[in-house]
Amino acid sequence: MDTEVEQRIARLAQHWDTSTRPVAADEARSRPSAIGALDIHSVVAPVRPVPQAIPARRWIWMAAAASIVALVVAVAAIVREPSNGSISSAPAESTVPTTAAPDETAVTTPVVEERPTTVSDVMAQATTRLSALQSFRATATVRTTQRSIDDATAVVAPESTTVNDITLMADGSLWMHGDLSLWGSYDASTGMSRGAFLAADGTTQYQEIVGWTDNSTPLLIALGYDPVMRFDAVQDTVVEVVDRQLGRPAWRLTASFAYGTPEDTTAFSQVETYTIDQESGLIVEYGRTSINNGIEDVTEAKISDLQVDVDLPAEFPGAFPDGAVVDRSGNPDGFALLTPETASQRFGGELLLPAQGDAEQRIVLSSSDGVWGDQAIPVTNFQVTVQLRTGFVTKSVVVSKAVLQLGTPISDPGAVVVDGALCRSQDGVTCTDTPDSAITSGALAGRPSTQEGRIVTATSGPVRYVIMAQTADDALATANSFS
Amino acid sequence: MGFDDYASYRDFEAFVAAAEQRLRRALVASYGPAIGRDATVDALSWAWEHWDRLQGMDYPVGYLYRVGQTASARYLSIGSSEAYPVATSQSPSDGEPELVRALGRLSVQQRSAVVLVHGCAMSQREAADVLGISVSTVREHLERGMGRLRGELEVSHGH
Repeated sequence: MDTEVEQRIARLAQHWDTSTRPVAADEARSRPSAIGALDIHSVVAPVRPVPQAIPARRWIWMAAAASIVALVVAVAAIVREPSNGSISSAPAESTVPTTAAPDETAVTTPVVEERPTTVSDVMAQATTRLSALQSFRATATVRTTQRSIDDATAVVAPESTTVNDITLMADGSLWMHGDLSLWGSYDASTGMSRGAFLAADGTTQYQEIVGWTDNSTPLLIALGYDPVMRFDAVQDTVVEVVDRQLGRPAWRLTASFAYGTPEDTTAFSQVETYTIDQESGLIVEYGRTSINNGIEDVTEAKISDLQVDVDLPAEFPGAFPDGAVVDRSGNPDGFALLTPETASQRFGGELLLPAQGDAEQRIVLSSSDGVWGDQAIPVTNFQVTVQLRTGFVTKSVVVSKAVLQLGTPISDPGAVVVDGALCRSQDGVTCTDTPDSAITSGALAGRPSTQEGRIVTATSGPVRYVIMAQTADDALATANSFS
Repeated sequence: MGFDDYASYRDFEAFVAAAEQRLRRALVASYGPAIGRDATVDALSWAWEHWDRLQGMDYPVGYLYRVGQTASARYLSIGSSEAYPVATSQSPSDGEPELVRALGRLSVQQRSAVVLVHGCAMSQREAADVLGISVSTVREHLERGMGRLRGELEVSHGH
């Protein structure tokens, strides 16, 4: 349920959205970029992982991150050159173990000996491993600290370390217990999260939250990061082969960026490190160091004692004792697991869906009240999320529309209701669409659509489809499979 | 205009149609409507000038967001010492000056995460893609930003 603050932010963003005129391609072409002839990398300034002369304009505070950069430089095996985005190989590592330590894991997938040279290579190989993985259990350790970079002794927030055992299934269901809770769970079949916690006074408190469409909140609390890699957004990434992690080979990706000037109070730098177990494809260690407004935030999270293809414990999803006082919250309408038929009925109007293939399909419908357009017309936003899952690899389709709330007049002259949902219209009858289509087959063929990387966006009247997959080819193939 | 030029022309049109709204929303969320839009124009101008280079990127919107950040720094240094100008003359914000001021006191990352997720209804994953950071980082900025925002707005309401 949205709070008042969130609703105010939504109204403000809606106002900004409609009060800032869209930028047309012609306008962009006709105006020289303010960046001029400068190389964007020298201005946006990623923390370069190669030992080269640092431009004089590089910022003083970057020295604070020098130790991190030095570490990256020392271990980098393959470096992405920021100047042209190409990949060049550095001298090979000594030896990459090819067998797993038997006491650390039950993984039997043979280790691939070829070395990845790009993030895409790592992602492709990890995706193969993740698609075969059904579940895992591990001990998660998360350490966070915050301090002033101007005064090493000035601790802004005391160090915090939590240790939790976590069992995570490919469908998103999870079970955890440890420092954060006596027990906690998320049930992907009900959208319900439950937990029992020890209060400061020694009493046990119980909580139940309904309406969560995914496990991101409890997972990030317990683990500190998402263990399944999605690196398309990461720029300037260093790939290296690490000798051993969990007693066996791993890849490590280091991504860094920074912007701002010393005078800019919003100056920011960040280094993130992901260590990926080659056998399971899971991120088994994650580190982030960021500096903002003179404060350094450090998060170090890792999993150990990894076991794969395990079952949830018998006590999942957890039960409350008779008579227990349970703090219940959440949106009862926030989650409904549906069949294609019931999803279509409850969404109303046309609902096209992608081919399921061999993947497991999970369809979730959620709804929430909001506003639409410049005139902030009250609407109910309906969203159907279709997940097609193979192991821990998921592609998703999000179908959404804004339905005019009963009794609400349409105060926006540029809006029209088609099939019960609002859209922009030039003729007052039909939704205004762009003529181009990236989709060539299936039920969305010829519908207005565009592709950008691994995201395909399409519209069908007032209904919007967003298709996301691990690769651009897979996203387009999924977009071409609708019926 | 040769065939290749025409193809680039059409490709760029399609790219702007697909990417402009997300890019503009992100930069407006970060720097307010006035500078945010100018930064969007600059980022897309840069995209046109470096079209060949941009086409080779896996996720160009995240990169162009960084370009827009660079452009915004130029505007900020020219016109204002404030990182987040509350330009009420250009952005009346529908009677929400208190909220705009509170947003302005957040870090740019917190503000961007808050506005994209709660204002533009992006998922945390979508916001991470646009901002070029990880989902966990978005989540952290979101939690801290909302916590601070709620605190400030509740305090101001209480007085």
